[in-house]
Amino acid sequence: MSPARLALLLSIAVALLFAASLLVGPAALGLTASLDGLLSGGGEAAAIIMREVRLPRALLAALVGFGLGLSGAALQGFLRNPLAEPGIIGVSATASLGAVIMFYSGLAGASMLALPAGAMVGALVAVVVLLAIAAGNTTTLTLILAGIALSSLAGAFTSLALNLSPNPFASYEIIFWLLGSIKDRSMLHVWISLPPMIVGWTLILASARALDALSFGEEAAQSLGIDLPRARIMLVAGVALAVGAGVAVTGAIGFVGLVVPHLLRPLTDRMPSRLLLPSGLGGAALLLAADIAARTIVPAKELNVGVLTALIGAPFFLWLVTRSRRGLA
Amino acid sequence: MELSARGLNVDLAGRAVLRGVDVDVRPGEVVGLLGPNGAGKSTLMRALAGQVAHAGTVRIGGRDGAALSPSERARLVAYLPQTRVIGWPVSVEKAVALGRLPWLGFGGRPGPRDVEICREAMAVMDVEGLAGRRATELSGGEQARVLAARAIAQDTPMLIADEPASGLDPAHQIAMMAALGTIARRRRAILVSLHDLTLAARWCDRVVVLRDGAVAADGDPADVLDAAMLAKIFGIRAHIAREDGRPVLAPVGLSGEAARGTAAGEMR
Repeated sequence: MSPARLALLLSIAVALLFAASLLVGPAALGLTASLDGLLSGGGEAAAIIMREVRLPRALLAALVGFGLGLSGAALQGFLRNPLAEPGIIGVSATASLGAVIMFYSGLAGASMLALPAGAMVGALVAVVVLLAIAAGNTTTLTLILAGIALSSLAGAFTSLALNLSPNPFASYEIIFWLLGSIKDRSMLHVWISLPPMIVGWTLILASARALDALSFGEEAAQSLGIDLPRARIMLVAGVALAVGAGVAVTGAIGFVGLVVPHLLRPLTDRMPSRLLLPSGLGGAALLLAADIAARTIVPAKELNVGVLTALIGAPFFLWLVTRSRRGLA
Repeated sequence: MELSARGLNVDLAGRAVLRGVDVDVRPGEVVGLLGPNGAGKSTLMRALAGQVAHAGTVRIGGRDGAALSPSERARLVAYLPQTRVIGWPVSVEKAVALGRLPWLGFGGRPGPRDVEICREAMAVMDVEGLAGRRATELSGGEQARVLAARAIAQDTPMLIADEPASGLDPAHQIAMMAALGTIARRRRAILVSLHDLTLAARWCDRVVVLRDGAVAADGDPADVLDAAMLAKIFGIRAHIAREDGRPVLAPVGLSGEAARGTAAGEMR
């Protein structure tokens, strides 16, 4: 399939799912009432539901999904490993820890901004540590091992917070947040996460050439004029910003960044650069779809979208891997 | 343009891998880099390609190698690493086309000239027939030729190839060396490391022999590759015949010193 056609088809899918996301919800608003509420203000209740509940939710699903798909494709290309996923560099775990600390300290209850701010700080800590390593004389393997170490450490502290949790309700809140959800987010969440996401996406897309060259190993990439330390920094910072900002507002959402690049790679010429945009769009479509499903599958009880993506993603991934042993890539 | 090094020293993990190496590769010549395993051949090539920290000077086309930006260097020197990596099942055509990367602007599309250069590089390496195949599904020798075509498509005045002939069948080994000769005649400077001494003697205009990180010999293969050198540096005994004035080497055993060492090892 030609790259333009693939991007077009995926864009249409994102647009349709975005519209569907706006129209689905417990409040039974008709199509006209929904559009009215969104655009002209319409009835008071419809306007509030559309503008303050459904629009931020649909936007966040699309934005976070895009970042996860894009980051997954970039990391798989960077590491020449189809098993890489955005969580591997440790940013998801440290961002989660940042949010958990806010719950634990009680600050989360004090301000709506405390949670995303804490998660952003957590993500930033990981970024600083990783960049310090990436800027030095290092290898990609060191970088990934550092990411794994960061993940484990952040996971350990998260467990500690649960262990020492002042009351069962706090633990419940922490666990619930860790499951990942886009429920009850506001436009404020969109505005605070959008700038770092855009910077992250830009850094990743600007590394497209380096990713292609890295398909043939680091030595070959350097001989093709790629500034390897710079490419490492751009990719790590890009993924950290895109994923960190997402986790900060939605909690950790798994499998999107792993499965989407896999699913779409066979439709491209397999050059990592050609997979970036389709994978981002695919991630947006998948998260929008998963969020709609999370709202509608079980009547009267909303599922956490992170649970749903893992529930569908893991078996699907297994099927994908076993379907063709050589088809991993 | 000329590729040269003066007083090159490289330490890797505290070990002196190169010690005061001087080497020149001039336009129009294929220089064979020879030496036993661990002599420092790959390290020398990587230092010349700007991929390993070193003391001493590297001059690339008359310019200080250390002062070149990565993209400037990529337009002057192509480097074919010994480790053959093909990360994704891309088509052979796409793999070779990547060689044009240093010449394309950001997000630039290859023009007709780029396409022509890639087509030529594929013809030189005899991989035109594989153009539509996935590079990951080829045999090792075919992959080697595809990657060599990638480096040739970079179309630089200087080319460094680390063991491009290893893993190739005899016909393609000869074809590889002949191709490098053809490219050199277009005023390109080529440095190629080899383990096959006959191949080096037959196809290289000059050979540089490394031992323990230092240059042990540098000159015409017919002068350099004699019985004493083979025994001293490589530890082998060989029949040396001549064909068109060039030595043809048939190793028949280890040289006295090396053979005694092996025998002693066996007794222990």
